[in-house]
Parts: sequence; C-alpha cells; structure tokens
Amino acid sequence: MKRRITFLVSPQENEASEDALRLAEDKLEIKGLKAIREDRFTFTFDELPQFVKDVVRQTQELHLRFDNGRNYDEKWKGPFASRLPLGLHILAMPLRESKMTNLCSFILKYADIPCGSIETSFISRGRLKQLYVPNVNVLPNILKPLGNKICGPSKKACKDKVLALSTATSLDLKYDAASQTLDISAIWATSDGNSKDGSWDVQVKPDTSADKVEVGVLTSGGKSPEEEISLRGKLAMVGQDDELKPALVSFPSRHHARQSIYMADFNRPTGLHPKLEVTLALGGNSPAAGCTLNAYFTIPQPFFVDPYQLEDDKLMKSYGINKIKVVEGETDLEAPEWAMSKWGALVLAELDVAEYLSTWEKKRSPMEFTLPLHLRYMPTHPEKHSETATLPWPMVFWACPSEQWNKMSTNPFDRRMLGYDEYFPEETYFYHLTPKLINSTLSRSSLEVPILNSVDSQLIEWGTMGVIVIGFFWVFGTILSSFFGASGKKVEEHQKKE
Amino acid sequence: MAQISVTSLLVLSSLLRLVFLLYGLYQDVTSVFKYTDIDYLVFTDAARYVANFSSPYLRATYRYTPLLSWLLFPTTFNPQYLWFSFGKLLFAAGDILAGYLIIQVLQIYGFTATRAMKYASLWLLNPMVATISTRGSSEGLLGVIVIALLWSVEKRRVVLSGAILGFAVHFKIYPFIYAPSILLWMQPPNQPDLVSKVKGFITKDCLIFSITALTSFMGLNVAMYAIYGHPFVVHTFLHHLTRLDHRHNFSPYNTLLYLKSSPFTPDPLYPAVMLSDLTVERLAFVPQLLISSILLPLFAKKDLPSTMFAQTFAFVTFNKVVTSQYFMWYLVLLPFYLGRSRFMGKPVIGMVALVAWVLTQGLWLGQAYQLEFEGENTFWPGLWGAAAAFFLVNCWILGVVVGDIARTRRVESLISEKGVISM
Repeated sequence: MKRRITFLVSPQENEASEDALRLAEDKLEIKGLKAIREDRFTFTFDELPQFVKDVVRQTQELHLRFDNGRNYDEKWKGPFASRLPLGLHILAMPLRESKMTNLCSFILKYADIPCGSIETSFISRGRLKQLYVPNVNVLPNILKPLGNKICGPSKKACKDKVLALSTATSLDLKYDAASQTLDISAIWATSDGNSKDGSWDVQVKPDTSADKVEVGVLTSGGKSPEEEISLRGKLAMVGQDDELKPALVSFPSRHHARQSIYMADFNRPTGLHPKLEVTLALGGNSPAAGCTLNAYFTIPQPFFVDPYQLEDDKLMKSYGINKIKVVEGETDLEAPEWAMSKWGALVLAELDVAEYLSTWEKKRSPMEFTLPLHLRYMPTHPEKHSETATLPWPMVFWACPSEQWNKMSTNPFDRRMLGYDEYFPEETYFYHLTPKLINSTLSRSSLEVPILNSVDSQLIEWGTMGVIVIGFFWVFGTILSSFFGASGKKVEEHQKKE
Repeated sequence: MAQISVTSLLVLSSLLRLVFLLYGLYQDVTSVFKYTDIDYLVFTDAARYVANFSSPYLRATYRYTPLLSWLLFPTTFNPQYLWFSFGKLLFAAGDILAGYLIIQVLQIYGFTATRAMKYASLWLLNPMVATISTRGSSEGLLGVIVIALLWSVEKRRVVLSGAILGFAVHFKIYPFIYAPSILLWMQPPNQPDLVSKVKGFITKDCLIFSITALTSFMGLNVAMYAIYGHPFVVHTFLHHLTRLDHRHNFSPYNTLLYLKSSPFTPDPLYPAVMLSDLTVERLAFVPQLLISSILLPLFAKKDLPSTMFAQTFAFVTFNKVVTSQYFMWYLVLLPFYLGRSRFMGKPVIGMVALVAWVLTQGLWLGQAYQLEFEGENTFWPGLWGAAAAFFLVNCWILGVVVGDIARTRRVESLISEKGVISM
C-alpha cells in the first residue's frame, strides 16, 4: 500500500509557517494548518482482501464516488475543483461479458442499496453501468461493516482509520484492470477535527517502520498558463526524509474552478410537474474560446424527465437550454414509483449561454435555466398525506476544447469518469461553478409529493363499490323495466305527444 | 339555418377547422404551451420510424395500430412546415366526412335535410370536436369509421359492414360492442319464439357479416403481426387489458386502482385492517360489458343508432379509464338519439342533464388542477367524490337514454306504417 497526503493551502490564507510543520524522524507534525486535505491510498491487487478481489475481478473499470453535498466555498481549490451531485455514484465497466454479480451483492450487503442485478438496478450507458444513490449518510453505513471485515474484530485503530473516511467531503474509489491497482482518494475541504476554524492538527506517521507516507503541503504557484495548474510548497517522504524539500510543479489539469456561483430551487407551487430553476451568477464572459456551459443532473425516483419534451428545442430554448445532449436511464412516462427497479436517469444539458452573453451588457442580470420534471405516483400511506422528494442540484461547468489533453493524465490529482466527462471529447477541460447554499445545508432541493392517504382504505373500497353498484343497478333496472314494464302504453303517449 | 345547404354547412365546418388549425400553428410557434396534442407527436414520431422501415413501436407510448402511423407517413415529407400538419388535416377531414355521413344517415331515418343538418351540426360545428381533431387526436377518425359502419348497415351492405367493423375493432377495440347490436338488428322482424330468434342469427346476412368482420379483423392483425411481431400485439391489444392506470382520470375506479396497485402500509393504530381481497377493479369489465354489449344490444331492433349511442355511453361510463377524448366516441352518435330524447322533449330535463354533466366534470377538473399543478392533496375525498358524482350523473343520463329508446317503436314498422318516422 502506498499512501500520499496533500495539504492544499489557499493563497488567501497565511502561508504555512515554519512551526506549522515539524518533521521528526518518523513523523510529521502539523499544527493549525488551514487547508484542503487529500489522502490517497493505492493498493495492488494482491494487497486487497478477498471479498474486494471478488468484486473488482469482474470489472474492467470501477468507480465508486461519494460527495457530501456540503463544504462549498469560493476559496482557491487548485486541482480539487470537480464535484458531483451529492450522494453515491457508481460507474462500472464489466470485464468481458461479466454480469458483475459480486458488485451487486457487495453494495447490497455493505451499503444496503437494493440491487437485484446490475441489469435491473443500474442504468446502461452502452457497456458502462451506472448507479446513483442520493443519500449523504451512506458512507458510515458502508464503512462500518467494511472496517470490521478488513480490520478484524479487535483492531480499533484500523477501524477508526477506515471510519474516518466517512467525514470526507468527497471520496473516490477507483479500480482498473489494466493497472491492477485500487486507488482510494478522500478529500476534506476543512478539518473535521476539534479545531473550530477547520484547521488541521495532525500527526502523520507510517503504520510500520517499513511504511512510508508521502506528504505535500502545497499552495498556488502563481499564474500559470490556461489549462495548467502550478503548485509550490514542501514535500517529504515521512519515515525516510530528514527534512522538507521545497517543490514547484505545474501540470495540465482537466478540472479548474471558476469564480461563479449558482443556486437552484423548484418553482412553487410544484404540483406533479415541478421545474427546477437554476440561477447562475455567471458574469459576462466565457473562460476561453469555444467553451460550452453545461449542467449535469442525476435525477432519482420519484422524479423523471420526459425525453420527448426535452427534444422540443423551442421549449428548451425558452428554459435557457440550448440542447439536451444526453438523457439516459429510466424514462418510463407512466409507471408509478413502486414499479421502478432502476434509480432514475441522468441528463446532460448544454445551456443557452450565447443568448445570455449577447444580452449581458444590457441586462447585467444572473443567468437562469429551468429543467422541466415530472413526478411518479408514490405509495399510499396510512399516516402521511405526502412524501418528501429530494432532487440533488446539478453540477454546472464550462467545457472547453483543450490542446494539451494527452498530458492531462500526468496530473497527480487527475480525475476522470465522473459521469459527464465521458460525453465530451477526451481533449476537453472543465471549469466548475460552485453551488451556493442559502436556505439549505445541502446542495439539493425538496418538495412534497401528494399521496393517497390509506387510512380510509375501507371507505374507498366500499365507497367505490357502492357507487358502481348504485350506478349499475340504476341502468340495469331501467333496462329491465323497459323490457317488462308497460312500455306499450308509454309508446302511445310518446307518439301522441310528438 | 333553414335555407343553408349541405355544401355550405360542410364548407362552414371546414372553415372552422381551418381557423383552429391555423390558430394552433400560430400558438405552437409563439407559445411554449402547445396547441398540438402530445399524442400527435407520438403518431408523427412513429410515422418517422415507419418511414425509416422500422417499427412504430420503437416510439414509447405508441399504443395504436401500425395503420395509423402508415396513414401519417406523409407527415414525414419535406418541407416539414407544410407536411407536418397533414395528419391534423386528415383527422379534420375525417370529422367532416363523419358529419356528412351523419346527414346522409339521418335522412335514411326520415329526417328532412334541414333537420338532419341541424342535428349533424352538433358534431360538425362543435368546437370541442374541431379542437380535438385539429390538435391532432385520432379519435375523429374513429367517428367516421363508426358512422360509415352505421351507414353501410342501414344500406344493407353486409360485406362492407363486416369489413368496416373488423377494421374498427382492429383500430380501437371498443367498436366490438356494436357487433351484437348489428347482428340482432339484421334479424328478420317479429320472430314469435326463442327458437326462431336463435335461428334468426343464422341468416345468410348474419353469417356473411360475422365472417367478413372476423376476416377483416384477423386479417389485419395477422398482417400487422407478420410485419411487426410481438410488439404489435403487446402495444395494440395486451397493453389495454393489463394497463395499470393509476394516474388520475374521470373513472370512478381511479382512486381504488391507485390504492390497490400501491404497496400497502398497514395503519399502526389498526394493524389488522388490511386491504380486502375484493377485486372490484378486476371485475370492472363485468358491469361494463353486461350493459354495453349484452343488455343494450337487445334494443337494437328498435333504434340501431340510438342503441349504439347508449352502448358507447355505457362503455365509456363504466370503463376503468376515462379521459375526455373518449367522449368523442359517443358524441358522434348523439345526433341520432337527441332528436327523439326526453332531453329535447322536456327541455328542463335536458338542461338539468347538461348542467349536471358539465358541473360534475368541472368539479373533477378543478380537483385535478389543484392536485396536478398546485400540489394540493385532493385524492380523497375530493377527486374521488367528483369522479363518483360524474359517474352517477352519467348513469342517470344513461337511464333516461335507455328509457327513451325503449319507448321507441320499431323503426322499420314505423316506416312501413307511415312511410316516414314521426319525429
């Protein structure tokens, strides 16, 4: 196992002072350091526990990603700019024709996520399968049993280490069959520890004397060419080096942050056809020539989109969307929520930024766009009159054509296969906008879906039957009396009258 | 009205539709609220699939015969701004033809031309009918098929009648309810006893009618199955038998269907109370078919078109799914019944019926609007109550209709006695 820890200090913060870092022979002490932290663990296939081997053995490529839907700030984020809609995202590419049954039973067992089979629970994007769970509390559920399994019953320190990952802002697990390695990367936007201002007081120490931990404390290296990120700071191999070494690196990066915020909410009243309205403080220009502004939605049940409605270019234009590039997943237009086995659908929308930019000089107003949605019927309940339905906010980003794409994988913090980047040419780099949470603690919006209250189920049943019976016998009776009644006489009268 | 000619009535109703059609094009261009019916987009998408030699069933929610997508093949031609509306023109033309046939058939029944036109105007100049067809709903085509069926039956064109019926059932299932009525109507009059009544069924005409109907129905099915295979059967027929229509609609069964199809959570206060095993919703077809296709056809001899009107009205009223487009199914037959109805004879009853029908429907629409667009929970008792009230009003109207038809003496005997029916 290899371990690498990176502290990324914002240039707005005071630079790490000399006493913030103290390297001793076998440990690095860090005190009062305000930084984004990334912990990265790399395992070779042979180092993996058997049950993990069983899972990854069936996959060509596997990505489990979690985002906590919080900790958005406008600080400099360096290479850690990309985020995902909150919750758990799984992207899996089977090895040859594998059904990836072990992955399915793994998430069922450890994450308690319903998975009958990959076929019925994941949405299919060609060979790539995708599952999304809009739950921000899913990590402890997964990590606790996982820690027990990996560490054995008694090793508390080990279990604590595994469980510590559950406080991460985002967590990535990546395996690919080509390199036969499993990478885990956890990012904390701030310290979750005892210090109030979110600074780090930690001691980095290798587990055994044979182990080494690579630590870097880095900050912005100043202006760098577009597409590139430059970092400078100090590096040390704890357990080996005697002193921190100065470092200055720069590399092309797929993901960059953009100083623009956005927020979203449903227009009210929501009804059964809610619309998510997204407001972007975009400013008046795009980051580079040829960029498109995009929004990536993961839409869980009971929401759904009508792909035919989204095809209506004129309607979409009126919603601030240039075109819907991708709709994939469950788009049945009629079925109720309880008849659905898949989690939902994803939508990639290209926003109508040209229209917005052309009027920006005059209006100077924020950009807005709207995604029209629909709701499935939800199960009846004896105590409730509605169910809460929650939609994660989309990720909004500029996608720009790149000239350096072949070098991007040299980025030590590179992140790809996020769910949307596969829909762009490989030579693309991204500028990410930052969600702004105002009335909520998480980047999502909720609404109430009216449901039939079943406390009167008996009355509904008997009432319906009663009404049908009354109506039926009224008609039935008229028919019978017409046959057997004194209809002849009436006919006479009828004729006379006319 | 008195001096207006048939031609001018048809021109007038064509103009009405043309205005609606053009207005619709304008609204589609200028507003995000589309005039064009969602189903029209389904049909035309399906037509595009057909134009590319693939199956119309590749289009989600295409639940119709492939013939419809074939008919709309020209909607795929270029330039689109001209050809896209071809289907609407076709449906509107179907409306007009249906109206023309209504005038013709009414005259067979002894209506004067003027009087026939007056009643046909219920269809021809009805803004609801014109709207539905120019929005691109195919229900209008069904109107012309049904009236053509009536016309050919009255003209004793037995083979043609059977062929049309088979086609109609292939097109939209429900016209099968007319089969028993037509068979009974074809019976020789005044059969003294049951045995001869049964024998009456085995006349040459009845046999030919049945065989041609079956042949055209099955012939079309086999042909479509040969081309499109299993999806044809699934979407055109099986879907309608197995569909789980839990989304709100006018049917009185609607709330119950939602309740029964949803997973059930027992009430913690009364955990023993479970949903009953009563399967009212599964047996819904019993009262529906008993009335519409077994009992009501017994009146066919007295007045075939009014009986067909009553049958359709009953079929729609007792259906598990009711949407306003289904009202078109019986509206096209209304001109044949209304003239002899108590609703006209006693205007008070007529007004009460109309007001009650409109009011309960409006009540339902109000509840549905609150649910659908304002997110108010009106499932129970609001929406249910409105649907139940609308159902009961419909049943009451149906009772009056049945009474009226029963009071009519046999049409033929009237003709033979007086030469003309007194209306």
